[in-house]
Amino acid sequence: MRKGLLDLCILSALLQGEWYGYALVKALVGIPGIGVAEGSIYPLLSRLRKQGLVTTRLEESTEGPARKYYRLTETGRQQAAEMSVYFGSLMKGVKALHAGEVTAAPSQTSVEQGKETQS
Amino acid sequence: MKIWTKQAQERLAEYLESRLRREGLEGEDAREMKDDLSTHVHEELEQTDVETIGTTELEAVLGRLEDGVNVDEEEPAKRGRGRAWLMIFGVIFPAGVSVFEILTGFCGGVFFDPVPTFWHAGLIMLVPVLNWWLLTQGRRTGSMVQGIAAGVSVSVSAIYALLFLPLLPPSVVALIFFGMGLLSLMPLIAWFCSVRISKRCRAVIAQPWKFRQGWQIGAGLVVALMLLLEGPGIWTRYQLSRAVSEDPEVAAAGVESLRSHHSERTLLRACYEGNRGTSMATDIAGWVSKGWNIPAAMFGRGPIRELNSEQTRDVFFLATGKPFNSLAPPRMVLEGSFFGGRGNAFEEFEFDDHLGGDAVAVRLKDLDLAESRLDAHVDGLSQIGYGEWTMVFKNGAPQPKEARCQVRLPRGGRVSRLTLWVNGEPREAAFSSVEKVKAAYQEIAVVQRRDPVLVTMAGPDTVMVQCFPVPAYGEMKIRFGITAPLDGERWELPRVVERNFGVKKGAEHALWIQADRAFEVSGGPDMAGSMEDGDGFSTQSVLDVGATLEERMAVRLGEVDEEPETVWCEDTFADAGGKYLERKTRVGMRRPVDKLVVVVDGSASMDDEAGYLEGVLLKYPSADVLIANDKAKVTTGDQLGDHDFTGGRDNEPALRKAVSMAKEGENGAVVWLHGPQAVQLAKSEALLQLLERGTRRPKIYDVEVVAGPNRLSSSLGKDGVLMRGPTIFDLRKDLDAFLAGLLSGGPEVRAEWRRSASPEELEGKEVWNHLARVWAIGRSESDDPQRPKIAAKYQLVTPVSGAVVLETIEQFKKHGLTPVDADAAPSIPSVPEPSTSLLILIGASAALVRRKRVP
Repeated sequence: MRKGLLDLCILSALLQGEWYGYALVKALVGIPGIGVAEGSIYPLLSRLRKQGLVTTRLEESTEGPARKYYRLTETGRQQAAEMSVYFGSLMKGVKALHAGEVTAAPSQTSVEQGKETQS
Repeated sequence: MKIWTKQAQERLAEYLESRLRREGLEGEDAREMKDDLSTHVHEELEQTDVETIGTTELEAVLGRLEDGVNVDEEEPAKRGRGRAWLMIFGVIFPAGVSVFEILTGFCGGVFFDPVPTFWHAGLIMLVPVLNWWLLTQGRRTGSMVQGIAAGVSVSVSAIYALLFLPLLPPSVVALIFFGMGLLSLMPLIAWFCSVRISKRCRAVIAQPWKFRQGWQIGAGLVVALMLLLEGPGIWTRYQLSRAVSEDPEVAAAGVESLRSHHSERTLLRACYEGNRGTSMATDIAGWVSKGWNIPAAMFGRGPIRELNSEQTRDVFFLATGKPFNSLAPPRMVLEGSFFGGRGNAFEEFEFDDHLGGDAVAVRLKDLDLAESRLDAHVDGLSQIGYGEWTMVFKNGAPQPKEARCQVRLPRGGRVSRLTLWVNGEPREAAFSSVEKVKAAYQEIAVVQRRDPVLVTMAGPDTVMVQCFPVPAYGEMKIRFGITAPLDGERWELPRVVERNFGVKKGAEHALWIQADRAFEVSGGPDMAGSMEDGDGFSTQSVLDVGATLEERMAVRLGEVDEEPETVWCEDTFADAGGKYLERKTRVGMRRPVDKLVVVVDGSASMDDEAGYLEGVLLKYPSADVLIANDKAKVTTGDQLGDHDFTGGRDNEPALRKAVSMAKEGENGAVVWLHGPQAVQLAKSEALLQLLERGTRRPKIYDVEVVAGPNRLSSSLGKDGVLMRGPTIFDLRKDLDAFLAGLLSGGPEVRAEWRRSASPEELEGKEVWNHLARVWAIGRSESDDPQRPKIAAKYQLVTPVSGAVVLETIEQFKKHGLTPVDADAAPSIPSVPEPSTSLLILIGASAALVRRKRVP
């Protein structure tokens, strides 16, 4: 769950444009309650790159080592959109539960019992 | 750009390596991860105010990198499963196998002993203990401590995995085809698990560099301890392999190296291995040198090469100066633990390759002298003593064993009785030629494995006693009687010079001595003097067997005539025409020696005596002194102390030179002062030739300064060219008197014998018929062609005759032997022997009483 959420966060951030890795990590760990180690975000970025969702480029820096920038690919953009829809509907369901708008579905056992009564 | 300290750079590199291992990344993935994290760290530190980046600043950044949930971390369930496997194969299994080996010596009895000492036992037990600790408690302690524990565990298991590597091919084969062999694979499995546990610890450790330091310390400690424990053994094995080389120069260099430094434990162990050893197993050092033979043989790379046991035993003597069988045999397993000690029958099976042979050879485990009793009667009138030594052997092993020993008899003494108890009944021996008795013993003992005992001569005044079988967990009782003339005023007690059995703890040696006059016992433990007992004197002492078995002790009679009286006896073995035998003595003067050469054995055993010898030899400046140090070193009495007495030295070259030098005189003599010569180091033919040829034939006087077996003496003694010198009780006094006597020519008692059909024609007093045996001893060692018959007739063990006891009359008959009638066998006279006049008086009184009663 947490892994999926982080993926969504990364893709959502990159929807806005290109991000420098260090800045992206700092932004992600800054999200209240996310509670993730900085060091564990880089493996995720690497995985997304291997899945073809993001691309990277290096840019020389005068202040230190070359910086790696991350950008969404077209597939990544579509994946971000799909995840965003999924997450939106998920949140809607959670909110509905919270508001008491959803009634409990009948259990399989009670359906079977109903059929027997009719016959 | 910030400046990074070296420590910070190293720490970052270490962290990155550790992180990659933890993530299980390799290749391109690893490089990418490393670059990302490194860039992150640099970026963050560039934003700080400090100019120099040290480990403090770096640790803060690394802390943040790790602070929080690691989403890609191994799942707890997976980690738990890995831990369970490590607990089984890294802790429980090694612990079980180690305890099993310590208790049973399973491997120790077949291949090699992996736990020869408690140190080794402690080391191997550390592996499961430390692995358990690292898996459970270790994380609560510092990185350094964990590192030490991991280092110890990995290195101990690695060393043992290497030791067991030669057994890998047969173990795998055994595992596949028979489902066995897992035990020998255990060290390898334990090593693999220890490495995994070490890696797990290092991956999550707070301070990996400290862990690494600790690991190195732990491994270093183990290597150092193993070197301390096994280094001398491995060095000794290497030098031993050189010492048995076919190249004489290499062999001599190997022996010299061993003389300067050796592990006696390793050398002794090697003596019990090889082609004539008692077991297949060896120690760790031996395994290192020969273990590879097993896979090599499996894959057709040549046969398993065994040590030559005889050569190894020779080297043991050359290196230490001690006979290898004078020490308790090595046990492959520790004593005094579970299952009645790790010395039970399963582990300690021994094969005695010398059964029925002529050598005492290997000391057998679990075969002990359990009881010992010596009864002796010394008759001052005839100047003859007779003693009976009873020995009870106990075998604590499940296989029957042969007890063998060499016994040094009193000077000029011979065995004149031999008894074996069969089913509680005493059986007397048959005396016949050596060939006959040996053939009977070989067939009955070695082939039929029944109950015989054999006594043959093994050197000057030395007999070999062997009996088989001492039954499994049973006992065997034998007794042999010794007739010997007095040596001046002394009658030396027989003693063991070499044996293949131990002595049962707490076993006693009961000593009863009686004589027709007052006496005292010298040498050995303190004994009470003689007490008046009827017409004679006697004493009894119960001594510790271990303290007296090999001790030189003698009975000293108080009043002995320098010129013995004329005596006679009824010779029950003689024909009617010469049934009475008279001995008249005449004291003559011995011709003084005009060329005296003293040969001093250069072996380590003589080191303690060198000072005393120097003191004595200084008094005789005319004597030439040679030190036998494998060669012949000419020296003088006052330089004797400068010699370095080490190892065991071949005395033959020095004796040969000494004989050549002694031939310069008209009446030359060689006095050979020596310790044990436990092995036949050189051929004695050249020496024998010198002694047997030419017009001048000097005598060699054999003076045993330090007691022990003497092979050279045995080979020379068979040809009668060796004279037995004085028995040394006080080196200064006895040797001084002997040398003075040789150079000045002292008195010499010569016996003249006469036979008669009736006692009336004889002079002197009547004595016991051991007098006849003493006559026979002289005849049996003369040039008389009838000597084997004479020796057998007078029931004597001589160089040409032996004694054997067989179990049944049929066995005697089958081998053409006739056992001695128990009534005709000699015995200790009743104590004390009533005088003849008293016996006549008692007899006459009884007759009178009977006559009066008759109506």
